Amino acid sequence: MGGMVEEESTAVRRDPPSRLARVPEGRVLGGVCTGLGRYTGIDPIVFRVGFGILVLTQGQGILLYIAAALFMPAGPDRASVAEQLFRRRFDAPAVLSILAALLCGIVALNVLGNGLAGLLGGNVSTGAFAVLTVLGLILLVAHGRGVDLTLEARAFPERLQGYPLDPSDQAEMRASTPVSLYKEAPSGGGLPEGMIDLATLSPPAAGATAATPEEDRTRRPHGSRDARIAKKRQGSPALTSITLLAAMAAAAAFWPTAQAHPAPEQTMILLSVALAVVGCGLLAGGWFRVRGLATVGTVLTCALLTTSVVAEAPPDTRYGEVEWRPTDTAGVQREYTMGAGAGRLDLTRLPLGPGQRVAVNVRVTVGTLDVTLPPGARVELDARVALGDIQVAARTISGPGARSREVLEPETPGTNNPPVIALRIRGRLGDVQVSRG
Amino acid sequence: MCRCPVAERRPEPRAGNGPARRRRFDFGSWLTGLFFLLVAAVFLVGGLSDDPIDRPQVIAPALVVGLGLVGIVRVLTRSRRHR
Repeated sequence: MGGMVEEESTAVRRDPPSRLARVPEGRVLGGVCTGLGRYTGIDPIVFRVGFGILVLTQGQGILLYIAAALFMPAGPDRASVAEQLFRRRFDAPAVLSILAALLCGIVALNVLGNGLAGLLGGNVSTGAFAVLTVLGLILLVAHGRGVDLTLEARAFPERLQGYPLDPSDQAEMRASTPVSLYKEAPSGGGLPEGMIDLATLSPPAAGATAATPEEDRTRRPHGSRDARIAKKRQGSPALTSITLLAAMAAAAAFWPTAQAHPAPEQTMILLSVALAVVGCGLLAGGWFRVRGLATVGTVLTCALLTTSVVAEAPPDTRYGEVEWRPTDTAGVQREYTMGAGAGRLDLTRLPLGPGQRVAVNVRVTVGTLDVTLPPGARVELDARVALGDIQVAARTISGPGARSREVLEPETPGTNNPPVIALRIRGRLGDVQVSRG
Repeated sequence: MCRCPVAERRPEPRAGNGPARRRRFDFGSWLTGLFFLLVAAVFLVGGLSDDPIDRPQVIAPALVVGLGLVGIVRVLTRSRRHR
């Protein structure tokens, strides 16, 4: 039994998981970029530029660099700070997955911080755009180099668990720990008198032999996963990579042409060009082997559809928290359009003379709308909401297809010739509230 | 001997003395490519002319139906592709 354990441990040591370590040679700071460059075969300057962009945009590059330095050991045979902390060993794919997940989180926070509204409206801030670009490039390069992103995403929880630490790592950790909490097992297998070694009560089954490294790898979940990933990588056809790179190049070539068009159409042109190249690749896929292009094409098609929906919206559509407070009657005679969010239209500051009539149109796609009316005006309300409620003063009309067509008399008594507001509200999904100010 | 640059066109040796195998034509992939080319053309024309070809209410269901049909064809031809 002891011999078998020793043999297994030797086998694991002979075939250790790949390590992503920092490299001190040619480093600028901690050797993270040189380590990434050595592992991926990409010039470290590319990683430095990527980190630089992330630092310069909103500073998230610093967080990412610190995380990388914590997870990447100083050498392949040493344990990183994170490994010492979690008492697990993280191989190179695990570290890369963790960094990628962190970057995805940063992008999500960035997009949420800038508001989904800005993204939908094409008014993405420079920071969000830069972070999205870096993430997109990383994903494209990874895919181009044969990384199955779906498989990597599925394997992420498993990778996060890491491997048990080797005895050498534990020895190193003991050496680096000021007060050792470890205790060596008594040599010679000797137990104190009267104690039973439970391990000896379950001897290996008859005919069982020591596991070979290959068997050991297939038995372990990590091994089987790695084997599947390796198999997938091995079969990555060249035409797929060529098509993806050609799609990027074609989109870049159309960039000057797209610049002459407004924001949603710009995106539509670039995505269409990329989709056309992917389509050509799939056409060639009738005769040559391709993989993953159909997925890329589907994603691009969905993105195109979203862009076309955004392009359909009127040019002055607003998103997010919107507040209109018109102060002149000339400016109020237009349509207030809200794409998604919470809108507030305050008409109390509108200077209205006796008998004056103004028409106000409001259109809401998704969200809530709160309209405040001046107390001295007569309001001819025509409100319709496809799915949602309309609340007028203390009365609520519920949907679907909620409709309210009524005249709200002025609250100020003794007004013979009050101003009239013709308020027309059209909503698709959400609640509308109309009240006096 | 085929002179195609891609290795998949080369005859693959088979176990035993059986005849060499060639990759069969993948109709599903070809149809998917054609569909994506069509979609790209529609959107490219719309984007370049600053005038959408059709309303999203029309084009969205058309796209979903197209993707579904293409997916069905790919599933049906999968066994042929992997044979």
